[in-house]
Amino acid sequence: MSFPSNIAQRSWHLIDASNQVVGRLATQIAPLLKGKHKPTFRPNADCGDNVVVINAEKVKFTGKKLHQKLYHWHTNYPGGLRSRRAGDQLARQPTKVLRSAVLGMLTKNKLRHSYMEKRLHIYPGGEHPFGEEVGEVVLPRVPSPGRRGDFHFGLKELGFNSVKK
Amino acid sequence: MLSSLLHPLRRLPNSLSAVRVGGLDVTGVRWMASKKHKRTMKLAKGFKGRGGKIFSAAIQRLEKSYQHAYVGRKLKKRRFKSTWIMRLNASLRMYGVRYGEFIEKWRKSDVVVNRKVMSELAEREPFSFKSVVDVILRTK
Repeated sequence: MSFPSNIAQRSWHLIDASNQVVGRLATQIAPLLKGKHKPTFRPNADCGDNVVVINAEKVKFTGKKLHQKLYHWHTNYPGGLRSRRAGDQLARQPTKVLRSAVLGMLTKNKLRHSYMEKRLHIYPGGEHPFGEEVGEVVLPRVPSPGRRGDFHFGLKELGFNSVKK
Repeated sequence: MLSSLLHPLRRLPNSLSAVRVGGLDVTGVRWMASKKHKRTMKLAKGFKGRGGKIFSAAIQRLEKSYQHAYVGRKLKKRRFKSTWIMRLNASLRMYGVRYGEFIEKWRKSDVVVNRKVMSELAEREPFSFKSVVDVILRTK
């Protein structure tokens, strides 16, 4: 059964990235680009959506990653391995931090290079040039409380409020 | 000139005029050394480079293609199951359920519907899908 890309219903998602943890936000963005949130998902077809992210320069890293996480790239010259700390990357190219996080969570195939990458629009500030078709801010979702968050061996009722999660 | 119109390699619209060798229609296939060659080259159509044109290369590519087909038949079953699960996960999350929680109840319930049919229902018959989901969610 064929599924040509021109009949795919593509919607737009607007995401506000301020004060979000980079990786956890990227986990929510990547499935949208791939189309895994749709019941009509096909791995071989381009069924993803457009995603617009605003306030990308206000993303956060937990822990000491701002000083310790390194972004590497190679210049194709011998001895050309370059590194840059996450904090500096945020200052120089803020959109690249979130972009590399999201693209690292997508499959590395032709679909991603040709289509999904082009549908990911990241803007450092609060403005985007897409107008009304994008709609309201829908993400990020509040994460559902997993067992790890709420599991307390029944001790909470007994009054042990200092149980580490 | 009339004889060139009736040449066996010429494509004629009527299927009854197809040139058959060993039961196969070889209209449009190169004229080859033997019937065995013709049969084999028919199978190797569309192969890359010499594998689609030269008999000795074609038999090697064909052997590889049989191996790929054998493995592929087994992989196909795995991949489709994985795709059905991804689609079901997406459909269920629209109703606030996750696939992992759902499959537990599905197993306990009497619903015998399999993942393939459920994922097709989710795509094309959303209301029927929702009713089956409700039945499953109500099992203890």
